[in-house]
Amino acid sequence: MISFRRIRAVAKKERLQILRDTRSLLLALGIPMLMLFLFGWALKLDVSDVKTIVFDQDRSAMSRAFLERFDAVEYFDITAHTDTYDDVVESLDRGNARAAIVIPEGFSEDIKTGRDVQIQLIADGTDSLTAQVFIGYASAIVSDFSQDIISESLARSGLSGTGRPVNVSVRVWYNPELESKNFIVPGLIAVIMMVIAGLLTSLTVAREWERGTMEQLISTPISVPELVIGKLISYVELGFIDFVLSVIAGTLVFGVPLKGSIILLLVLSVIFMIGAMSLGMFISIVAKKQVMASQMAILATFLPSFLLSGFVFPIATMPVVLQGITFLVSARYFVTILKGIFLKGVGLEVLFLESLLLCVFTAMMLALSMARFKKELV
Amino acid sequence: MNGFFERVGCILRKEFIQIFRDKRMRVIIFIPPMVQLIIFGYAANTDVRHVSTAVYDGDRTSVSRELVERFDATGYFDVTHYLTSPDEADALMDSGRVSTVIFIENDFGRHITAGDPAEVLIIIDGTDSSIASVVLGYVNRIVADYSASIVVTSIDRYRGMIGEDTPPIIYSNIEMTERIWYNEELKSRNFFIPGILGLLLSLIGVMLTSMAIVKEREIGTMEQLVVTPIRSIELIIGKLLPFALIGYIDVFLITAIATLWFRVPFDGSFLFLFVATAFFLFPTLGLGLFISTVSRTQQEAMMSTFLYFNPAMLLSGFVFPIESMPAAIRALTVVNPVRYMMSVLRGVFLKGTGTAELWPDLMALFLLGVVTVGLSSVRFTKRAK
Repeated sequence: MISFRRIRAVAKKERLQILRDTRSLLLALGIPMLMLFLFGWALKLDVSDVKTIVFDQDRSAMSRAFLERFDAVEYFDITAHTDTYDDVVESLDRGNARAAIVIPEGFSEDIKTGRDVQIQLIADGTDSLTAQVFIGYASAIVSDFSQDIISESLARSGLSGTGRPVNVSVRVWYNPELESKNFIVPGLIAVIMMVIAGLLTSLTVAREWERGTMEQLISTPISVPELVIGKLISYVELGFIDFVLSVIAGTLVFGVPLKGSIILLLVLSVIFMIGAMSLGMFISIVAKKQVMASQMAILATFLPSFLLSGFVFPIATMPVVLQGITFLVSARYFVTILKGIFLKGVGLEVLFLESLLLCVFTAMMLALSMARFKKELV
Repeated sequence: MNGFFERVGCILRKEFIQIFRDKRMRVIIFIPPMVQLIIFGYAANTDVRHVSTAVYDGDRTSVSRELVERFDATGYFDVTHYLTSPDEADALMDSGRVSTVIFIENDFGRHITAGDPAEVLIIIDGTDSSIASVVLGYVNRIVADYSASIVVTSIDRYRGMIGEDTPPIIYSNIEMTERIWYNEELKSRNFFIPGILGLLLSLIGVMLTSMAIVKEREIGTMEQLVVTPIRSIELIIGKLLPFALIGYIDVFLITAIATLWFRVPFDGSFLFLFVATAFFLFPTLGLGLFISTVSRTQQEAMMSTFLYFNPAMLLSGFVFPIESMPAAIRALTVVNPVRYMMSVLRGVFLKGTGTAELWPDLMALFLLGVVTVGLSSVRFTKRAK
């Protein structure tokens, strides 16, 4: 029979222990904020101002008008002009430029006389994602230019087909400005919560063993579930403060839209934290030594929640085996939930499966840590 | 310098015995880096292919089908859903089952053949903005190509229509050919895996070094070392060399897996990688040494390593480009050794560059090494006294 009085007593003891250890308390509240502010501000994946070197062999008004179009968009930043191909090679090798535009000799002459022209774009493919983005933009700029040339010559021949044949409007939903912070900040919150939850609780049981207070606890009439729940309550309270602070900072400081229900967000965050903290507790029980415990906690929380949660690297492109493993990473569900509630404004009708799996994970971790605990107490 | 090598040799022997006698240590040194590399190597993938796409084709003519076909044929878009009403798009987008929707207006085909502007609406899921930007690039490109082809066919039609007395239509097509250097197939794996080598090397270097020295202090054998005739510089060298060797073994193993298993190109020289590793290990091990002087317990050393590694990884340019960071943070990355190793590794793996291009990075690493080792030997000597 679980006694709420005893749970309250354990929670009270833990709360006191947390409050009295000022260094840990500062760590628990300071590190998440520091990480969120530093990384939320520093980490961007927006492609803009790609340093571009130009090798213009034509040097005509036409070629300048063409280059003008690259300079006019925010994606390219023409930083250098050169007369030799060797310069192009060198600045790409050294990383001074990420792209090069090579305009052939006779560019304007060919256009006037109706011969086809080839423009060359040399892209530094090292960072493939950035390269893909700016190659796409460059190609669109060239196509636009080409169509304008054609339209002009049609107009000169007295034909009115100057309009674009296809009017394409592209709308970007959920994140219309395509700002990377809008998905990095919610993802960061998930990673930070996972790391903090794991680190905080990973030490709690190991510490009792090391300090010898575990024996005192064993001699009290507290049962295992009461002890685990009591410990969890105090840490979830702390984590909840972290989470609320992160959400406030994310929306007010970084301007990430919070379109969905705040209540749902908070409820799911508590479920996520109970799971993450049970995992930390489980590690703590298994490891028994603080050093081992914190090592394992880092391995079990930071790397998977960074790599396998879909935070930066999409799960859909991973090999099937790895996709299977991601189901064991609760941050995966939480990242989807955070992005869904923050950016899409969807509720349980869409996030039903993720929420359910999150609950299953939490229940399993809770059961697992309780089951392991019992054996240690005997 | 009398007996310098002898004393360093003694410390070395002691260290090797201590490291390799510990069964757990033998495993920790080599297995986690391999496992992490393999998981990282498969997980760190941002290639954008097969974007699931829904199509609402209000026209249903051969003209509109040709446009859809153009999207499907690139391999970037997979048309997974055909919608019967535009309203179905919302639920598909919200649940994330498709991330692009193409709407084609009812009279699309008629407008195209008549030479009137035809309307197409494309909706992209912007949640992950970097993927959305790539998708947006593809969309722009496909549409621009399509539009250009329509213009060209219509000109051919006009040619037949105009009389003898009007001036001939002169037009030229401007095309872009793209040359992609260093990573021709634009595989994100080629970008990330050399970076992982840098991350793992720095994690192992800092963690193992700091833990090993703190352990000595924890179990009380440091005092024994202090009373021996060994000088602190000899002690430091003897302590660091084994970890440098372990670092080299890891570099060798990881490079082998990266090139043979993941098929990451290796365009530079192995000799240069060998030399650059030494330059990187210098500040890395120095940092481990420094952490050991400020930590009393292995627990603290572990925490400090984590507190260093976390920002060092995120602010190294491994995933998030340094150029896009705010100026203040960019200035901060100057003291991050991992940042320099990233450009060295990507240079030597993908670009085939060497000392001629990368000497500024090597210099920076060397300076950081002098600072960290200098700082920690000052603290080290003080503590020993």
